[in-house]
Amino acid sequence: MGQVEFYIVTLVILASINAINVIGLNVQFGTAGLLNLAYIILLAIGAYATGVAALPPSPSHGYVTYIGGFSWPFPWDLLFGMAVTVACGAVLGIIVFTRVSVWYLAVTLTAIGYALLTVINDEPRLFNGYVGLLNVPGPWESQLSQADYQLVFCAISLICLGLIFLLTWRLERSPLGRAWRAIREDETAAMALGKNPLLLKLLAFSVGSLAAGMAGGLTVLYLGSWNTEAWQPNETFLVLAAVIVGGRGWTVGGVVGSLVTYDLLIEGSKYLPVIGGHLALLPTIQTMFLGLIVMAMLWWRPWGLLPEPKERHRLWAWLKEPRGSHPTVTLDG
Amino acid sequence: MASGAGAAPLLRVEALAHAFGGVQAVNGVTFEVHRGEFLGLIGPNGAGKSTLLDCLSGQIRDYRGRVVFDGQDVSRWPLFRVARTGLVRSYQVSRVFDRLTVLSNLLTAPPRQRGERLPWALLGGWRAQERHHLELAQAALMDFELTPLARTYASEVSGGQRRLVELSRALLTGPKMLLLDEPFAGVSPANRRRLGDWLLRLNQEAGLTILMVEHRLEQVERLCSSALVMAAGRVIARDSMANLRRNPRVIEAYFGG
Repeated sequence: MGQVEFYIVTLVILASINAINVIGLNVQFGTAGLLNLAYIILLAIGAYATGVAALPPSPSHGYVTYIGGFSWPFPWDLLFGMAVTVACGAVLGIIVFTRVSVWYLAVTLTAIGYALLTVINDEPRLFNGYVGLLNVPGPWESQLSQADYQLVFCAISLICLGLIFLLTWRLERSPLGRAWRAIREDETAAMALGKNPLLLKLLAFSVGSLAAGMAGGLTVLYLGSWNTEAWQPNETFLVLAAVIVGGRGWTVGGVVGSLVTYDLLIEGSKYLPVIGGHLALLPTIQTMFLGLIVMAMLWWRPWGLLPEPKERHRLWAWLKEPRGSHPTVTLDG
Repeated sequence: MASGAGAAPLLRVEALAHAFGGVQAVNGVTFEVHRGEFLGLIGPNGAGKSTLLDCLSGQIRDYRGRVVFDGQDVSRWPLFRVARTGLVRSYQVSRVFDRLTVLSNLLTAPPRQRGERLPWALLGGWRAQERHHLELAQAALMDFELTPLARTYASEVSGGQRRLVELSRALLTGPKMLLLDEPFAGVSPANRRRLGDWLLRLNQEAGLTILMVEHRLEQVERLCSSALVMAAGRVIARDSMANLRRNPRVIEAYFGG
């Protein structure tokens, strides 16, 4: 495999993981309206749980210590990571959804995100502080050549993306998806129709957590390490930007948003010429540029590049026919 | 009234009271509504009508007193559980799901939807039920002549049409009783009559029990067999509109100081 091919395969892997990631937040925020600004925490949980499931038992004296260490082979490590994320997401959901109204949700979750980060960084006995996890073995990494491993991982990422896409696609086109949107549009009105908001929100949060756990798990398996540097709470805003740019409320919008923000804007901007030798300038420009794009989107295309489509029904066929034949009287307010 | 006499009332409210801070908005209200009744609820501004409706529907939950609906004590139940018993409300300013089409708004309403449960939503098996709900929604659209708007976002229809969407959505939950908070608000004078006819038909032909807050007294007179009058958080009278107009206490509450 040449360097160009290697680069392309790496891009496909990262694009798939990012797409899974964005799909997760899109279910939570886009479809169900839960502005989860601690989304990155779910990713970190998925990554850590997957990492410690894949790693051998923690050495008693060493640089890296961790909880667990099961030496589980793929896919059990990833499934474990996803299960732990969903469980943690459900607990987090129960805490915030029972007590906090929608507008405080974002603030509460942001606070939880920063608090957790501080605790993890400053108490190394919990999750090994800044160092985190190292040398997490990837799927069949030791048995494959580097080129083959790269291709295998690419296939795994694409399969995972396909599975999560199918899952969310089916859910958001079902009456459950409709109920999620109803909660998003007007929670009180949905309650007045007998919808249980806590249950619906928890379901959306859990499905989003499943995707987050998967994305986090794949990330740690691919990169081989986990540390708090990679899970800064402000990373959530990047995912949120992708959701807004693509089209919140449906899976296709999430995938498009992920491709545009992560792969076109972030990856593409690496090809910009370095200005005056200031390497640190690039991330700053990226952030500014992304902020401008999000503002422009919210101004001109608030529902994204590919807005959520209207619900379609077999009834549409029937609806066409009486259009002309019926006398149409409307009530104007 | 006569139809429900003797039988257990559908809704019984006992000594219901609620205060906002120091203001006693509802102050010990007791009344019954019988099956098939179309009861008005009138009173000057600030009498506590909307607060009473909020308490009955579970929108406000920290009230004192008892609410028994259809033989079940629903006091202080949350809004969605009260709605599930068949006591369904509408709002003074219609609440629709803006970013859902008119048809999707209606389809949200039917209770016990299989497709809202995770396993069914995932594996399918909800389409037969959905087809049935589509038929119900289709009938509701026809009733209100909303069919041409079925595919329109609810945010894009007029104020009067929003009211119709909200009311037919409430009806699709299969309610035993409707709590209507000023259903004629936002509806043009020309169309109030049509809406009134429809409510009357619901009550008389479908036998639906209705409690309606309304300050347009001519509508209450036309539709309701009798009305409750509230003033300063209390029910001060319950009678037919013709008698209420002659009742000195009512006249004082409306026109006195």
